[in-house]
Order: sequence, then structure tokens, then C-alpha cells
Amino acid sequence: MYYFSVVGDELKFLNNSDIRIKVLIDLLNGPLKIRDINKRSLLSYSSISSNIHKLCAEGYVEKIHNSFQLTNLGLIYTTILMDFRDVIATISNNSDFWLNHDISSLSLEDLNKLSSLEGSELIRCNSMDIYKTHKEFKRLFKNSKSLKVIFPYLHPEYPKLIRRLILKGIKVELIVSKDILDSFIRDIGKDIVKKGIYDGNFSIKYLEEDIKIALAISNEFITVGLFKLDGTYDQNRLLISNRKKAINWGLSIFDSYAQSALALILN
Amino acid sequence: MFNERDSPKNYNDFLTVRFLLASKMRPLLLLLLSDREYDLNDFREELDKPSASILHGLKELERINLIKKNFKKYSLSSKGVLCSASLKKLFKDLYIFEINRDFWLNHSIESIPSESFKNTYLLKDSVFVESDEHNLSKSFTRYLELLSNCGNMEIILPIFLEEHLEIILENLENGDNLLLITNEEVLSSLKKSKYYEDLVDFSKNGQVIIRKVDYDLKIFLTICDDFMSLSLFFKDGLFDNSCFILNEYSDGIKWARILFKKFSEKSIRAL
Repeated sequence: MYYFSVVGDELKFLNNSDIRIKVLIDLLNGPLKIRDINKRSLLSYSSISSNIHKLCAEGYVEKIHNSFQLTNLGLIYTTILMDFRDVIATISNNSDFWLNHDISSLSLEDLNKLSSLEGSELIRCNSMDIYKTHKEFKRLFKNSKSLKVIFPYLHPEYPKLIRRLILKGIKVELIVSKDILDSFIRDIGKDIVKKGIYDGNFSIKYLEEDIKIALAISNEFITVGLFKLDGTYDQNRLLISNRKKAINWGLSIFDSYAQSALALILN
Repeated sequence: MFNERDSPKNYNDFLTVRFLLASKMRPLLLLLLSDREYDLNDFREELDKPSASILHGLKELERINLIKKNFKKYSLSSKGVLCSASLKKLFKDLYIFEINRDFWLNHSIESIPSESFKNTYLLKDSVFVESDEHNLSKSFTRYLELLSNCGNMEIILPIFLEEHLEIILENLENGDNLLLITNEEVLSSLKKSKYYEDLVDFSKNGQVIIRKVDYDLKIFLTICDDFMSLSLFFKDGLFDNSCFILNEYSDGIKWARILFKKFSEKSIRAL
């Protein structure tokens, strides 16, 4: 609340006018004359002029010869607002993924970097393809060169997939909840698990507590699945991205889970 | 110089942003609800606003599924939790700029990549250490004090000053390490100075690494175990020795390390 009391007025000033925001974004590319902005945006000359002078008065824009450019503050505010825009777009574009789902597995730091997921695609099952998310998940797995996965639940096909990857020498790191650990190892095959650990291309850790996120990160993609508020895993929605920022976002979540997870020790 | 400015995207995406920020009531309601459930009376007490404007704000937020109402109690939806957390981050991101607008308006920020402005919430607990008419060297003295108790040092050094080097060498004598990033001009002064031979000796046992960038540095960044400090140049190109940003918290040090890493990636080893 304190921080809002400091910055709230400025944010209100900037966002009160559509024109001000448009001018700031246009000026991100470099200095422009009012006429240039007028041509690009089709806004009236007088409204651009009036708003640009207000932005000058508040220290966001400055006049250099006949052109206008962002001041440092204008550049910083616009950059930060664009980042906020990316977060809001991520939330709004995948509204039914975030709505009514348990997001308790995401830390404040994860939430603060949510703009990393900008441009993600939401895969939804539909009546013509009720296994769409599952198929997509498998397809991505098959082409991976390295894989880190947090499994909160057990699907009979996943241990088989993991087994194939281990045998192909692909590096696989898993974190599972303790409830499914034994079944997972049994279904992969204890010998294969031992071999993978021995060869150094497989590791499996477990967490005592419930895991409320399904996360798979490879060299090329990230997928995120969430639990519904009733406590069941939502098999019908999967958020997917191949952007580097999103992959890094997932890796940092995986690493923080890995720190508190316990390593499996086999006899 | 970094060149990673965001290219403008469609500003239609700003509709929701403007919806959230063009009113003071809507962010306030989301912030309050991030702590607990509220009913209308709770809101009235907390905000000291008429019921009509509170209810109007609540209806608007309910309309886009950010909040939900259950038996007169309002709470955030999961989407609302995300929006509220993002708003908090936004306010903290901007805080360091809003508390000293003149500093940011008068100094060059060309050496700070735009990515580093997107996590300035980490700097929210920073203070500006400024000289004043009673003590013109206040910030310089304070910096030297901090540096002398620094421990391991990571420094982006755009200026050559003997006082800095003397303290750095004392720290090295005490067994601390130095990772220095500088430019050709400073490095050349360093090589001509009486300190260089000592630095070379310390580098032989792995205590000193010097890296070099081939562009103009307009940032003086120091990272130690317990603090980070950031000084900038005035827009006219002169170094500002009268003010620096100091952060003694892990978040601030984290911000500085992310920035340092970016410079390190674009540098080559010189010693």
C-alpha cells in the first residue's frame, strides 16, 4: 500500500489518457515530431500536442529542436509499463488457465517474473480431441535432448516415456511427490533407474509435501499444468512456450523445488 | 552500450493495463484483498470512501473475474491474485525512480540495459547517499568506508582514483578477492600506476581478475557481501561523485549481480 501511495498518482496520470500511452510507446523508437506521431497514429494533431505538452510538464518527454523524445524517466516508466502490460497480457490471454486454479505453488518471485510467459500458448482439450494436452506433452518429450520435470501425479504412459529417454542417453531430472515415487520407479523399471543414475543421465528426487504444479522443461520448451481449486489436476489445459525467457522462468522454479527435494538413494 | 530496447507492440494490449491503473480505487481494492477477505463495511473503514464508489469498483473488478463475492465477502480469484501480485511488483519497480526523480532525470542511464529496469523492485529498500552543503565529500567518504569493509569485491569501474585502489589493495592483503570490469582508458591508467604490479601479483594466486569492455562505461557499480552501490555520470558526461545509491539488502545485491553478469558476458579477460 505504501508503494502505491508513492507511485499511484503518476500511474493514474499516464494511464488516464490513451493518447499519452500511445505517444510514450511511439517515442520508444526515438525522437519524433508531432506531425510524425499524427501520421502514425491517426490521432488528431491538437490532442497529441496537448498531451505531449502535459508529458513534458511532468518530466516524461522533452523537446529537442522540433522533435520530442523520452526523458530518462519517460523511458524507464514506459519500459516498466510495457513489462506490466506483458504480465497482464499473459494473464488475460490465458484467462481460463489462471482462473479457478491453484497457484499456491508459485512463489512471489515466480509471480514477479510472470511476464516471461508472454506469448505462451494454451493447449485445451476439446470434444474432438480429449487427449490433446497429453498428446502434446508426449510429442514434446520425444524430441527433447534434456528434460527436467516436476510430476505431481502419475500417468501410466509417463514412466514408459522416461524409460525410453533414459535408454537413449537423454539427460532426465525428475521431481515427484513421495506418494507416487515407488510406483514411478517400479513402472520405469528399477534396473533402468539404477543404470540411469549410475550413468549420470538420470536423477529422481521427491518431496514429502503435495506438489501443485506440473512442470516440464526441455532445451526447447516449457509446459505448465495446474490443479483446479477442488484439488484435482486439470488435464484439459496445458500452457506451453518455446521462448527462452519462459524456459528460464521454469528452470528457476525447478531449481527451487530441487533444493528442497530429497534425492533418491538406491541400494 | 547495450541495445535491447523493447520494440513497440500493439497498444490495444494496454486496455486492461489502463483499466487497472487509470483509477486509484481499483488497485486499492486489489491490494487490500491480497491480504484477506473483505466485506463492504471493512472496505468503508479501511478506505474512508462512500459505499457507492467502493461498490462501483468492486463490480468492475468482478466483471473481469479478478474478484469474487461469496456471502457478502469479497476475495480475489486466482487471476486476481496474479494481477494483485503484478500490481505490487509494478509499484515497487517504480518506487526507486519516483522517490528521486531529479536523480534519474539528470544522470545518464545509457549503460543500464532496459532489462534491468524490469526488476527494480529489488532496489526498493535502497537509499540515496548524497553530499550536502555541510559535508561536500559525504558520499565519497561513505563509499570509502563501505569499500574498506567490503570483503569480496565485484566492481564495474569507469574512473581511475587512487583512493579506491588503495582500499582495494588493503582488502586484497586481507585475503579478499576482486573481480573488476573496466574499459581500455581506465585499464591503461591502471597499468601506468604504482598499483598495477601488486594487482598482477594478486592475480597470480587467483585473487584478482580484471576484465575489459570495449565501450564507454557510464556506470560505477560495486558489489560486496553486504551491500551494493551504484553511481552514475551526469548527462554532460562528468562523473557524479556527490551521490550514490546504496542497498544493503540481499534483493539489492541480487539486482546488482544480474547487471554485473550482463557486463561480464560482454567483456574479455585482461588480467
